[in-house]
Amino acid sequence: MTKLLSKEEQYTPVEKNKTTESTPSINPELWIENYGDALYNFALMRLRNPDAAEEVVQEALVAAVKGQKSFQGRAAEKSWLIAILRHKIIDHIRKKSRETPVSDEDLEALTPEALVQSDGHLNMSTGTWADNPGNIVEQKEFLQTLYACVDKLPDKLNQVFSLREFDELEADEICKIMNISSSNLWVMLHRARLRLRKCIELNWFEDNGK
Amino acid sequence: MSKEQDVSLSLKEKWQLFVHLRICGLCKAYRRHMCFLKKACSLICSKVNDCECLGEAKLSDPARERLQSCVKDACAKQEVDDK
Repeated sequence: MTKLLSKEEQYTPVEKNKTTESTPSINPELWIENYGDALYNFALMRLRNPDAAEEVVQEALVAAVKGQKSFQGRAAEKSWLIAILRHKIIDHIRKKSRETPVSDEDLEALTPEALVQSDGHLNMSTGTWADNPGNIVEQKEFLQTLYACVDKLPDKLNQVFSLREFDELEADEICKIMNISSSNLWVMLHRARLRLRKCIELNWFEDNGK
Repeated sequence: MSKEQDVSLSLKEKWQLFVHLRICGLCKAYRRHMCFLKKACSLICSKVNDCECLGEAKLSDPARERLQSCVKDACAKQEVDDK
């Protein structure tokens, strides 16, 4: 049976755009103050060029302003901004990789000869690493040291490693972005990890003891 | 060992690795270090997602002003487009 509206209900105007859940409010004018340094820092670590870093941060912020309505509050505002920035960084890397592809000479130059012995074994000592480094990994100072080590990687290794570990992309996606083969990708990731391992050993474990 | 961080190894590769790690202490340690690196990078990833600044570089004041101005312009343009 159809419910008949009371006189009050008949003449009460319906609120326009009424939503059952409140839409999250975001204030773009506070983004630079709140997140500017973190966004710029991340972009600079990835792109190595202050101008390029500033440019992608700008592009990300403009895209975020345009896409405000699509922000549904499922993630924190800062995570949403970082996600947009990541996409802009990847677009930038993709474009640059097409302009200057990785060559065989690049791969040879990236060989860390000092890290590998003639028999193929790693030239490393294990004495300085803690037996259980698991406790160290959550210290902010250690993460900052590792972050600085990633920053020191050669450009192409930094890009490949960051796409894999910080953007969590699959191998085939990285190969398309960087315009490299999968065998090149494995080699570059391996070399990045060797260098990082050495860098952490020198800058953390040898300074801080076991 | 580096490859296993990224893809599933074939049965043959897994067996070869297993046998080698039984006898090579250095490679065993290296593998442990790679797992440790992976975990650390995952933590960095979550801190970056929280917009936590891990490096030392900061926006210069002119860059900050440029970006602020750009955001204001974009907001103004968006308001016009919305109308």
